[in-house]
Formats: sequence, structure tokens, C-alpha cells
Amino acid sequence: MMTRRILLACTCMLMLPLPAGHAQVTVTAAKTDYPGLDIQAEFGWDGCIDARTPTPISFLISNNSQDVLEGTLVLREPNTFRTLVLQNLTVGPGSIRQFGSIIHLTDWEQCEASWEGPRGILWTRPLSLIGLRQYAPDKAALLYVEEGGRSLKFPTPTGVPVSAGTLPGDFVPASGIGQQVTPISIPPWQLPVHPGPLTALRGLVLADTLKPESLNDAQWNALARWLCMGGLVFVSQNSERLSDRLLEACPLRADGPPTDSPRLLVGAGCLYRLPGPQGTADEQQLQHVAEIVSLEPGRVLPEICRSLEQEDWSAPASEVTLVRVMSVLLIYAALSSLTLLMFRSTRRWILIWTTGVVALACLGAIAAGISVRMSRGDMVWAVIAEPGAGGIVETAVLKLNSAGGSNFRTALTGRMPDLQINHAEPDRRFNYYYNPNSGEAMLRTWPAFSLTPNLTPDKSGLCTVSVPISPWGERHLRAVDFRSLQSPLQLQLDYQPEKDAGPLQGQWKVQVSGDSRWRPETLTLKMEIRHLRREDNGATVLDQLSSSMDIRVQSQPDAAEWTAVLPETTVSWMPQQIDMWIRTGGQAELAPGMALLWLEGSLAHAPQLQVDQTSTEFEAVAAGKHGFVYQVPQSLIPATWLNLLRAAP
Amino acid sequence: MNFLLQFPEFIRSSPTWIRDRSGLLSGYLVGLTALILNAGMLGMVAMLIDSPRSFRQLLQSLDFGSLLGLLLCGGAIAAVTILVPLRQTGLFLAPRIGRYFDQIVLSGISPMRYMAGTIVGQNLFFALILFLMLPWFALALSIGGMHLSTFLGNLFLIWLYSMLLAVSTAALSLYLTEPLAFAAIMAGSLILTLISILPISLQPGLVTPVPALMASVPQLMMATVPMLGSPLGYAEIFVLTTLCMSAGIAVGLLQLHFGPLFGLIRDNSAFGEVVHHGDNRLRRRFRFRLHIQRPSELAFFYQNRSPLLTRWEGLIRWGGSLLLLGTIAGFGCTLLFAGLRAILVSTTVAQAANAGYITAMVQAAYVAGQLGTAGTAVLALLLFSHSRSTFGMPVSVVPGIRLRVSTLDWASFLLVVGGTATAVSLILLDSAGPCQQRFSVAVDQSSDYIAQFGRVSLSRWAVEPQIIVFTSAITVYLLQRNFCLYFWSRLMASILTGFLWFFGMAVVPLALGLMLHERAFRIETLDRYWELGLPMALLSPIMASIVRFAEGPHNLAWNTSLTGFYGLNIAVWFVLGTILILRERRLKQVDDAWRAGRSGQ
Repeated sequence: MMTRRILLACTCMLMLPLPAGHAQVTVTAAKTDYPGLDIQAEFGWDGCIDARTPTPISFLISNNSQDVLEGTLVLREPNTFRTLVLQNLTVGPGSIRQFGSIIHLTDWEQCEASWEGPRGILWTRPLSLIGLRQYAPDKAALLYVEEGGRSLKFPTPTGVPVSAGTLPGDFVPASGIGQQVTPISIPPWQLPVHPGPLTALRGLVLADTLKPESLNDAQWNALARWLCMGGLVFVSQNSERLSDRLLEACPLRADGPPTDSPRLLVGAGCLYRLPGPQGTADEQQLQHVAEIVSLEPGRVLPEICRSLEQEDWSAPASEVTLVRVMSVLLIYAALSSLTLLMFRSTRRWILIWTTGVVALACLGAIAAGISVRMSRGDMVWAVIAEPGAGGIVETAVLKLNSAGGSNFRTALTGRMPDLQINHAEPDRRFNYYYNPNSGEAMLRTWPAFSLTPNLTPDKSGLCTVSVPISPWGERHLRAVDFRSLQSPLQLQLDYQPEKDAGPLQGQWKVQVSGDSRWRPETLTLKMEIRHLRREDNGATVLDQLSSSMDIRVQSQPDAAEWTAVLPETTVSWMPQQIDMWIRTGGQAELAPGMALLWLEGSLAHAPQLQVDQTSTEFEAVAAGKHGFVYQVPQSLIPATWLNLLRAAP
Repeated sequence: MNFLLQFPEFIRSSPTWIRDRSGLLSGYLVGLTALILNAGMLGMVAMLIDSPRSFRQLLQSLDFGSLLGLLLCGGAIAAVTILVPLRQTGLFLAPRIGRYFDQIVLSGISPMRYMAGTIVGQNLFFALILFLMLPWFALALSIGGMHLSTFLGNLFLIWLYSMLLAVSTAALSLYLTEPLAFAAIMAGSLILTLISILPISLQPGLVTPVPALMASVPQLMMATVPMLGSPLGYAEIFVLTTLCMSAGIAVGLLQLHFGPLFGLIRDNSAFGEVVHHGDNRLRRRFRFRLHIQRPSELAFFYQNRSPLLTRWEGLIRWGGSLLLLGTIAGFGCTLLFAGLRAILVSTTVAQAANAGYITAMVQAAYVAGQLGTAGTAVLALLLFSHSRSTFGMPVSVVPGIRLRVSTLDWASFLLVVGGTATAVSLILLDSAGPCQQRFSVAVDQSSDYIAQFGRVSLSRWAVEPQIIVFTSAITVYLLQRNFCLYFWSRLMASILTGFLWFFGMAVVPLALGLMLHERAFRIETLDRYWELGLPMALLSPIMASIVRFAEGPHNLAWNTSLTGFYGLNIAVWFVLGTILILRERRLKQVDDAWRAGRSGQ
């Protein structure tokens, strides 16, 4: 009896702190923010959330209290209690801090963001995961970064046919040539810390009201990397500090025109300086920006990377481990079924036999399981180099297959490599049913991912990530690096249409030369014309005409420069494509991204971006096939070709 | 407490437990179980890895450990579903074929003790299955990725499922031969498993572990949006499944305790072969009455049952059936109510201008109500009718009150059919006003065909079809009860009842009446009376319902009087009721005389 009383007393004493603690948490958990704390949170941009692309999440934390606030930013899904921990943050009194990341919330229906610390839940809000709009393959997105709350909207055009997909504020080209442009306006704290989300954009405007201090280093680096990867950035001539800060962060330095020229090529992208005293406040300037963006065709590189990811490949290590496991189970099945023949045996012998077989099978299964977990998986990778002003942008596509383990490291070496894990393997069923002429186009952007930190940030030139992967599962990774090289490629193009021939019959003359440090083995000039056709039932179908011409690389292997020349050659089209073109009167409405021209080929030398075999826990199945792609800028495409395509209907 | 202490001895003394325990470690059983289990598992794995592309794609969203756990549980469910009912088929079949069932009966062992042994013996078999699956567990654990807590939860549900299968098979074996019971359990399990895959949270499939299995892998659940309601988590589904299966086991155990309601009268009063007066003049093959022999032997066996709860037998049996039918009817009424609400919410008065849609939907709802009541009446007819051996048997409803089976059947049947018809009428009446408004708008805007709906009264639509169903149900029930007095099997009686009523009272008047009206006979004598065609057709409940729903021939108004229909049915009631009373009285006299003779009075 005495013992029971003592135990009861101890239990009561132990339970005392719980209500108090619960009350403390309850006070702050009752949906009231910490006094003086103001947090703004945004998933996506300006109501634009697209699960197919990398989606940024941004927080702006203003601590107007007198206390140092410390806590962890956490995302929760109320229905299934899934939790994602973002970051530990400490904000001093009277200070403001911003935090950004890129996340993919697989199948989350709701999201609640909270900042939780030793003082309890300091702040909590529901986050909207369903956006008002998504990116469309036939539209260009233009990001407007401005400090002051202004939202960029273009006036509704008059006298120009507007399609059903046009949203209020969209730019519709008056001439009918080019894509519609959707403006998205954000404050500076929402700019992402990785270029991934920016790959969904066609252009970005830094407003005059923006100060360089409004963006942190990670944001400037992300913006600069995106510029080199092919982005278009528009800055007012009046905002020299902005353009200087951007160029300072760029991994590639353009050679050639002075840095204050109105149009500066940097890597595969371009920095535009808008003239005029009003800068980005001038509506006409912004209209001009939209026109440039609308005429800019889509990027070719994302489609090439996607094709690489969709190629089938065999993973021998995983097949070996699978066979190992299945063998153990087959042997067990055979031995256990032999018990059927023991109908004359006593129960003791049946028990001994069965127990022995099960025990041996368990040991075999454990041994097989352990060996499988420790097996190195398979890997295949390829690097696509994209030469531009000031150097080369190298994009790597890695495909990993686990032979049974579930968490492995992968490392890349380079100059400043960045490696991210795609959210999901692309759906190959789409490829099976994909008809290029079906009118359905994919978004030309990086695939969705959640930002993975570099495990070796102190080692420059090395990026290591931990890849969670299901046994015998597959993951795809994307990496990017920048290699400085002066004048890597020069291109001269000439096109002469043939008289008395069809509209597409003409002769191309091409001369390409470049630095021998990355000489191509094969070179092909590819062209693609996209053309919208209206069917009798009113449906709009996207037709694609494509052709290619091989160009022979002529220089000696040990020469300082390589040259490839294509003498006057008539481009050949498939007869049905010519018929289609003629039937539709040349062009009725040119599709978005109407004419693409690019060089594609395979490289002779290894790229700068390499897999670090000592730190990577996967075995390369085959030597990587490295290629390059060079998308011809609009300024280099012969006018005779563009005029042909842009003739008014 | 005493029961818990005596329970182990209760089981240990059961002959079926001793038999199952002895037969567990046989080469045949162990080998066959291992073969089925491993073949099933390897087959599933082989199907998955056969297409490397699909396999890798599957592993994009699903951990391999979760996948393997899913396969293991799936394999266990398949093994249990096939093997547990199969092992129950020897319960009565073996002793009857071996001709020692009479010794079991004479031993005085209670049926519950006899069957409890084999039911509890399934635990040994389940333990054997788990033992043979150990290497698979070891593999899954060593590779990793399996959620152990949900896996153990699933194993518990599979064990509970094996108990449910054992109890259900045994309970069904009291009414059907074991092979038929096995087939019925297999078919039922398959149907419920398929229903379980549907994305509906609350559904009949909760008596199987499949919904919990799917909920244990969140990626599978998220692949589909639930059709009704919000998705339930694993914990909720686990609790619901446990409750549903436990309820099923409890009902099954009650059924095993009480046994089939099969009386012992003069005709089947001898254990073994059933012999009737005059059999010595018949050939041997015409003296086999297996459909009477088996239930009679089981009835003898159930003379040994313990008196526990027998004073509440009537309440439990009939109350249980009423509860079951009430649940089905309640579920149907809820669907009807929700459907009507959905129609009213989705169509405003303005939208009712889409006349074809609104009239079709409202009419469909009212017809569905009538059909639902008819369906409930059919189920009630099957549940609340008993064969000639049982109709007069007295049953204790509550302590102190004993009623005959026939009285209980009548009361329950009238309660179910009347209650369902009333509930459906009330639901339809509640929606009659708003639906009538929409009809008015629809009629104003549309063609002749729809215009006829402008004259209908939805309040009458709510009530009169239910009265038609109720009237027909009484007629069918009287027919059924009459035939049951002549048959030993109520299923046979039901088939004959259905055939006679459907063709005799539903189809023939309808067909003859319409042909007479259309002068299709081309016989002058008959053609002269063509005006009697439609009244003759209206004697059929099918025609009566069609006319009431304004779908009859254009010269028949929707509110045509159904006096002929009601008159015919009342006359049939009178005739059948008289025959029933006289026949029951006669049989009762015969039985009473036989009992008096037995007791020496």
C-alpha cells in the first residue's frame, strides 16, 4: 500500500511539468504570432505554381521585437502529418532576414508553414499549394523584380486576335509573330537561391527601384548563373550598380564589346541595357522588352537533356543482385516444397527438415540482403557543352540505378559544379505516345527538384550529394558548371532561297570555327520550324518541320583552332513536309518559337565537369557520351531565312 | 473469469482441435502450404521485374521495402483465403462420409465445442504460414525500407481475417454443403477484395485486410482521390477493419452457437436416412432425400447445444436479421436522400429549363426508391420464411415469451417492408415540393413528351408506388409461405414463388392485356373485347408502376385508377391466406399428435 502511494505521488510529480509546458506551447500554438514578429511566405511566384518545374519557396522574417528569435522553419501536411524541416534560423531584434529554397511537395494537398523554437510555435500560416496559373509551353514568362509592390501588366491589345489562353495583363504581339508573354511580378526576397526555377522564364527585368543590397549573394549567384545558361536579363542603363553587381557574380566574362554596351552576350544569355532616362519605369521600354522576349525562341538544351534521360539503358549490377536474391528464394521454395515427398516420414523428421530449411533460407536471405545493400549501383552520364560568350556552360545528365542499397553519394568535380536530384524519372510512356506533330509540347525547363545541399562545401571544385534511392530504383541528376574560354566558337551562316522553287528550297552555307580545347568530333546543323495549323473542326495543331545537315570538321587534330565548313548545300525536307507547307500557304500562323537553328555534335575531349569516381558510390556502365549544342542567336540567323518565315500571311 | 479459465480446456477437449494439431506437421500440409506461398510470392515478384522499365518506374514512388511488405501481406492474404476455408470443408463432410457423425451426435458434445476446435486450430495453421514466410521477412528487413509497425498491424489484420474466414465457412456449412460453402466464401472474398480497391473510405471491403494494406503504403493511397468523403489514414482504417471483422466473427460465433433453425417433425424424426410413408413401394433411387437428411442430422446435432442465451434466441435471430436488413435499407435510404439533394443542389429552378435532364433525373430517383423497397422486400422474403419443418416451432424471444416461428416471420416481414416503404415515402415526400417546382419550369419549356409530366403530382409519386410494392410484397409472401409448407427447402419454394408470381401475376396480364388492346390475336371474338385490354394490363404491378410514373400508353392517364390491381391482390390474399391457415392447422395437428404419441400421452 505504501509503495503504491509513493509510486502514485512520483507519477503525479512527473506529470506536473507537462500541463505547464503544454500550456506554454498552447498559448503560442493558438494561431497567434509572436508579438512583433512578421513573416511573409510565398510558394511559387505571384500565384504561379507549376509542379513540373522547380518551385521556389521564400520567407521574409521581420523581427520587430526586443528578443532574439530562434527557430526552425517547418512545413507540415495536416492530413497525413508529413513534415519537412527547412532550416534553423536566428533573427536578432529589429532585424530582417530572408530565406529561400526550392522544394517539391509530392502529392501534398495542403501545407502549413510554421516557425517553431524553444519558445513554442512563433508563427504558423497555411500556404497555398495550388496556383492560379501554370507555365504554358506556348507562352513566354517574364519575371519583373521590383521593390515597391508594383505589378507589371501589359495593356490589352486592340485589333489583334486574342486566344482563349490569354490572361489579363499578358503581352500579345501586335504583328501576330512571336509568343504571348506572361508577366510575373515579385519582390526581391522571392528571387530564388538556385537558377533552377529561373529556367522556366524567358526573361527577367530588374527594376530601377531595386537596390543591389536587396538581394543576397546566393540570389545574385543564381541570377548570374541563369544568365550564363541562356537567360535574358533587362536592366536600365541608369542602374549601373545592378548590372555591375550582376556581371561581378557571373562565372563567365564576356570578351568583345565593352561592358556598357546596350546588348552584352554573356555565356549563352544576354544582358540588355534599356536606354532612356525613365529606364524600367517607361512603359514603352517594357513593351520593347516584351517584344524581344516574345521573339526569342525556346531553349533547345532542356529537350536534349530530356531525351538523354528517356533513353533506355541496362544496369548490370542491379541485374546481378536481383538474380542473387531470386536464387536464394528459388532454392528455398524448391527445398520447402520437397516436404511434399515426406508423407511417410514421422513428425519429428518433418519438423527437423522444415526448421532446417527455413533457418538456412533466413541466413541466406540476410546474407543476400546485406550484400545487396552494400553493392555499388550503376551509373551512366553525359555532359552537354554549350559554348557562349566568355566560355562554355556544361550541363551534365546523370542516371543512377541502385543495385539494392538505398542511400549513396555522388560527387562531381569541375570549376564550380552544382548537382541536384530530379524529383522523378521522366515518364517514358509519354515518349511512347509522343507525336511531335500532335501539338503537345513539353516545358523547356529544368525538371522539378528539391534543393539538395552540397556535402563538401569547403572543397572548391567538388560537389557531393547524398542520393536517396530505393533498392533497384532509378534517380536522375542534373548538374551545371561553367568553363571560362575566350571565343570558344564563331559561326557564319548564309542562306539563299532558290528562285522558281518551293518556299523552303534554298541553300545554306555554314562556317564554324572554335578553340581546339573542345573540338567536336561530329557536327550537325539542325533546324526546326514550328507552324500552327487550324483543322476543319477548329482545333489547332502544332506541326513541326525539321531538317539537318552534317558539317565536316576539316582541321588537323593538333591545330590551335578547328574549322568546319558546309559549302552551299540545299536543305532537304521530307516530301510530305513540303506538301504541308504549300497546302497551308507557306505559313498561316507561326507557332511560338517558330524557327530554331542550332548546332549539335559530339565532343572529342573530356569536359571540365567530371564524375569523381573515388567519392561516387556508383560504377559507370559505359564511358560517357559527351556532346555539345549551340543555339544560334536570332541576330546570327540570316535575314533571308527569317524574312521567309516571318512574311505576313 | 471462469469462462476464461475453462476456455483452454474447452478447446483442448475438442476432437477437431486434436485432429488439426496432429495433422499440422504432415508432409502434405507443410509442403503444399510452402508451395502455394512461395509460388505466389515468386510469381508476383517475377511479374514485377519482368519489365525492368516498369519496375524502376514503380520504385520511383514506392520504397522496395514497402513493396516487398505489400507482396508479403498480399501473399499471406491469398494463402489464407484459399487454404483456411479449404481446411474447414472437412467439418461435417468427413464424419458424414465416414458414417461416424451419429457417434459424434450421441457423444453429447456441444456443436460449439466441436467447431471451436477447428476454428482455433487455424491459429496453428497461421503460425505455420508465418514460419514459412520467415526468410521473406528476413530479406525485407535486411534490405530495409519496410515500415515495421504497419507491417505488424497488417499481419494482425490477416490473422483476424483468417479467423473470420474460418468462422464464416463453418457457419455457412450449417446451411450449405461444404463445397458450396467454400465456393461461396471464395466468391464473396474475391468480390469484397475487388470492392476494396475502389477509392471509397467506408465500404463493405473493410471486412478484408485489403483497404488497410493499401493504406499502409501512402503512395498507393495518394494515387487516387477518394470518390466519397475524405481519405482516411492507416490508423482509422485499421480500427474500422478490426471492428468490422470482429463484428463478423461475433455474428458467426452466435450463428455457430444457435445453429440452423431446422425443426424435427415426424417426417425427419429418425437420424440418418429420411423415410416417408409409402417409401417401401418406391425404388431406392427415389428414396434419397439428401436435402432433408443433412439439415436433419445437423438439427439432431444441435440438440446438444448449451442453453446459454437460448432464452433470447428469438430476439437474437430475428433481431439480427432485422438489424441487417435495417442497415441495408438505411444505407439505401441515405443514398436516395443524398441523390435527391444532389439533384436539387445541382439544378436551380432556372436550370430546370433543361427539361430532359431534370425529368429524367427526378423520375429516376423516384423509381430507384421503388426498386429499393422492392429489393428489401425480396431479401425480407428470403430471410423471414421457413420450411415446413420449422414454421410451427416455438422459439423463446425473451425470457417468458415464446412465439412460433411463423408469427415471428410475419411480424418481421411486415415491419421491414412497411418500415422501408414508409421511410422511402417520407424521403421522397420531403423532396416532392422542390422537384415539383422544377418540373413546372421544365414542362413550360419543352415538347409534348415532357409536357405530360406537368400533370403529375410528385406527392402521389412518393406514396403510391410504395403502396404498389407493399401490396405485391404481401402477395408474394403469402405465396412463398404456402409453398414453404410443401417444401423442405425454402430456396426451392422461393424459386417456384418467384416464377409463378412473375409470370402469373406480372407478365401474363401485362402481355395479354396489351395484345388484346392492340387486337393482336386477330380472333374476332377476342377483338370485340379489346377495350378490356388496358384494364387487364393494369392488373400487373409492372404496368401499374409504369402508368403511375407517366410512362404508360398515351391514352392511359398517369392517375388512372388501380382498383383492378388492388382488388386482384386482395382477392389473392384472401385465397392464399385461407389455404395457409388451413394447411398450417392441419400440419400442426399432425405434429401435435406425433409429439403426444412420442411422449406417451
